[in-house]
Amino acid sequence: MSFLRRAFSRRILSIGLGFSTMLMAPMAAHADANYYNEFGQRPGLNAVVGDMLKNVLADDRIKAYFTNANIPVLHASLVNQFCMLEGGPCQFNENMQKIHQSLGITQAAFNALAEDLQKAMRENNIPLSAQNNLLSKLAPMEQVIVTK
Amino acid sequence: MKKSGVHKKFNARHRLRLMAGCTLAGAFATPALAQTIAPEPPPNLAAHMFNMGGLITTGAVTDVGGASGGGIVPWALIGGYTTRDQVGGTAFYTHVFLRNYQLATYGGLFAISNRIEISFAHQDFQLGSTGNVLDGKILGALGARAGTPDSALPHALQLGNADIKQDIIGVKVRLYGNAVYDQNTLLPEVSVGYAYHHIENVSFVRAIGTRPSGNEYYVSATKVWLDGLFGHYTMVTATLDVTNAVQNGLLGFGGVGPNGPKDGYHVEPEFAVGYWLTNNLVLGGEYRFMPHYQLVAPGNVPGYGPLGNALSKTSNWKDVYLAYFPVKNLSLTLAYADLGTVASEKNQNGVYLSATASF
Repeated sequence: MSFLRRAFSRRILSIGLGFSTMLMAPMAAHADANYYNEFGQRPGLNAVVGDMLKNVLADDRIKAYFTNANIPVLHASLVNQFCMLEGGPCQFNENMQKIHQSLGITQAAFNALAEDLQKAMRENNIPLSAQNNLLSKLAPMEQVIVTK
Repeated sequence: MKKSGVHKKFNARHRLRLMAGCTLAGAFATPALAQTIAPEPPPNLAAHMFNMGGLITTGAVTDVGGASGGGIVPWALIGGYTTRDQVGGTAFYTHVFLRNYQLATYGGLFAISNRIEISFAHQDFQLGSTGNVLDGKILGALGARAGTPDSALPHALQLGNADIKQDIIGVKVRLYGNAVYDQNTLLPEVSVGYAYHHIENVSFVRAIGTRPSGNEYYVSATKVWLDGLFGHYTMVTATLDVTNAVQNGLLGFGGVGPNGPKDGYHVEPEFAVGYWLTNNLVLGGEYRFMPHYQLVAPGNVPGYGPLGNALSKTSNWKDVYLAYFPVKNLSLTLAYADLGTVASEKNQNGVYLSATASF
């Protein structure tokens, strides 16, 4: 009995492992340049970032952070960054840690901005897989953006 | 698609100018950008502390034992929407309609800094008319003649249409990792948990040879890929449970052996997967191995032995669930749960409904 149980649980484990490798495959398969196209290239990104900043500046949770912000410069810079992250022909060389240090950015503020970005992407009908790819590139920046 | 065609044309005409634009912005952004965001503190610290800063769906479904998770498996995620400088919590109600029984559970949890959750759950396992059926089976196993009234049973074994009531107090601590942010590594979010269970029907569990309270220890790892399978959020959880709970504690803790109580802990794996159909609708499944203990008396004891064998039969628990978040602070879970044989009644499967509110 216990041998059977052990054999069975080993099989479940290997199914689990097989499943996780299965998960990895399609993630690598999608070339980044396709995401850039799915965002509508530069004009599409311009629209998304524009709507995102509109959401941010109306967002009581985080608008205070942007009181003295130079919005057009921020807009151009974000378009560049998203363009580069999604495989577009752009350069973005900012040091995210340096830009955000000592701004007192909370995790909640970081997440609120992500929600404002998601809302903008939804409103611009960006395919979900492209939305999620951009989020997955931005999410690890929490480590350097949030003040700890 | 029409849109991207337009963009392609647009891009062909403006590619050179755009590329020049990219480089220019790249070159000039450094000094300018440093002044674009003002170092303003959040306007209201108290409001911020309770502001549910976490991202939607992360940690806002409650498992049947009160910990944040899916339906029957605790996950590594901390319940509610707290971030590192916030406190919050959830309250939940779950009702499972099985073939012969119903399980009603309510409870809540308090979470601190997306680090610790302290949870409470009260379970009401309703036997309904099956209680009398079980009494008949017990009388039969003890060799009573047909038609013997239930009252002939030893008092502690009389079920009638009683409810079995269990209280669970749990604590879960996140050790490391963050399932949402850690997208550039394969490392999961890892938590350890402890739960203290107590059954209120003390004389009943003593009569079937188990203890009324028990401890459960677990370690859980949850990995979320934001751009997972086909570009959708995808979650895998593996939990290792150290427990001596019979049917998750509903029939007590431990069992009997040839030389008296046999309470040794078992190590049981549990698995959960989740696939976000949209960013607020999650489809998934769970599988939970359950420990097996001999109840009442060793199988070779006349009368009580066969009764023990019948009551001891335990199946692994599984479910398929659909969790929907109409708004961030409410989740509604519809599941099909299959608990197998419970207290000698086979095929205990049915609909599982659960709601969790976050604050």
